[in-house]
Amino acid sequence: MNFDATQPIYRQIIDDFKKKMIRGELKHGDRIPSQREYAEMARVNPNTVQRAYREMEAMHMVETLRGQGTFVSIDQEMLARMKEEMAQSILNYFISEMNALGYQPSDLIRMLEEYMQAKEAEDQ
Amino acid sequence: MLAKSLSRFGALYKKQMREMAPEMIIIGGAAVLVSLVLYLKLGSVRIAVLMAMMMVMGLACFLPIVSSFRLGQEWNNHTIYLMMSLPVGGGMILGSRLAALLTQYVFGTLIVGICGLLLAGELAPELYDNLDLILPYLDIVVLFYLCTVAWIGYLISVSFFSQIIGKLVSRFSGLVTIVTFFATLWLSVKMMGLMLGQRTIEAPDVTAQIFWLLLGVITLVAAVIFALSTWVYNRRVEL
Amino acid sequence: MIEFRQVSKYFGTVRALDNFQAQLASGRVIGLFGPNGAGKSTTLKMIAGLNRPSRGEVLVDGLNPWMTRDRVAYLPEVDHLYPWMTVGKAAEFISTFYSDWDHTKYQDLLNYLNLNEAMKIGKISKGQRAKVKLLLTLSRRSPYLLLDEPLSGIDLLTREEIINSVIRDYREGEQTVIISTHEIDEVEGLVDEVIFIRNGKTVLSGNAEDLREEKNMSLVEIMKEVMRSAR
Repeated sequence: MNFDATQPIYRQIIDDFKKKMIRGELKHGDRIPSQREYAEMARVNPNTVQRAYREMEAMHMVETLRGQGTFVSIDQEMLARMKEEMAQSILNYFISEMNALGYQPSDLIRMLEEYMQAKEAEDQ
Repeated sequence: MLAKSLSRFGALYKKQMREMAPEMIIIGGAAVLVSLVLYLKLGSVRIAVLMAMMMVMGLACFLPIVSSFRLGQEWNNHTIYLMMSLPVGGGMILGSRLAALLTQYVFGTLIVGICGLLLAGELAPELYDNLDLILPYLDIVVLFYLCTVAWIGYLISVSFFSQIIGKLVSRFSGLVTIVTFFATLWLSVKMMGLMLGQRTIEAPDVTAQIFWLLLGVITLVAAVIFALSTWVYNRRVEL
Repeated sequence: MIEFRQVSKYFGTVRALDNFQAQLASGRVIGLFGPNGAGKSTTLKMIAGLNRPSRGEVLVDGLNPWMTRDRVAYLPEVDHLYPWMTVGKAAEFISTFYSDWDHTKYQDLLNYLNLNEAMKIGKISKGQRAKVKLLLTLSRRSPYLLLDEPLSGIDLLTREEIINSVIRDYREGEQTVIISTHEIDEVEGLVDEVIFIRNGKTVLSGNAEDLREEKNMSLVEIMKEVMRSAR
């Protein structure tokens, strides 16, 4: 995992797991690497991984069973909410960036339509 | 606790011995080689034999002093970082070095001595006919030898002390070492003179008493200088 | 815990530390960053008991650092090992002095770092020497680990091996690691806390993640900013 050093790493670890859950790569009941395994894989301080895992547990994304490991504990409702939250933040980011370039909301709708038409033509 | 200290001392001692192994091999080799050459070639010229053996003996005596100046090298090649971070005090670090150097001295002198005796046995066997004259004085010989060991130990302690003092300054370290060496030598010899001068010696067994006294005085002065070196190493030396 | 209380250090007329104040919490990985001559090495040497403050005091677990040398594993910037020793002999020598020497760790690291006991320390490459130094330092369960420029002059791949070893080895909460390095970008993910030091004084210190959140900058960028303004 390559992280962006300008943002807190533990957040990026959590986001990484969120994305995997939203995409369905990690499903309810799947085992995630132990903190130590993750730290070694990602080449990140185990303390940082610990912080990320603890927050994920507090958010009920995962739960740790003694002696067995850490498992995805997210339910459908939470997943849907998380998905929407992520989509919303990406949308906010997109709009604010485009605004900074000078594009108006009406421009954005037109541009999106054009983009999707072009994509469809490409696929055929 | 004692076992731990002993094993640490042992490890340091072994390391020192390993570092000095080349020199010891050279001395041992030189002694044997010279003896062989003398035996095969110059057996008749007694003076030459004597001179040659004395030179090798001189080497065996002188070498530990020269080797003792290796201590300063630990700073140059940075191994002092390893030495000082080991959780032991100067007493062990310097003590193990002293023990190794004394071992070198004893080894060297004994090898040369034995070669000399063997050579004498072959080239001048008549000396051994008068053995019974020498035997009663054997204890004196041993005492004399012990005094030389103490004297070497003393010189090594002065060497350690002056090197450590030299390491307290960042510039002219070598100069400070040399000056300290001779100054300490001069002062301590004066002290020994004072301590010896005050003794009275009683009639029987004069020679033995003299040597016992000498042994005691040299060892005492050496111990004081050694203790001072340890103190400076523990409290004043910095990297 | 390690404490620096108003520590000043003079080497002759050169002031290496200037009223340096710091508390290094236990169980964290602490990065000591700053330009050359800032006082990083001096700080580490003080913790290792290799030099003393001219003023103020340094306490390791409340004690004089000369007394706590058995709890500290110190990796100096210089080549401090005997070149005539083999890796195995050096390990044997060092292990005699530390009750926290862990032979299993030693064997494990020996394999992980691709080293072998017969290697003669004076005859191997610079990168391998750096790994040997690390091997001998990490093969202990020491509460304190001090790494002084462990990555300097080392090739990229070896650097990765070294950092991975430190991560693998690190026992979170139990061990305190203090690492001083110029390669801040290599250790971004490794450090919990940071101390930026310049001219013997702390110019900024804090939790790495909090600093990232606050400034939206990487530690490298923070370092540049902090050093620029400290002129």
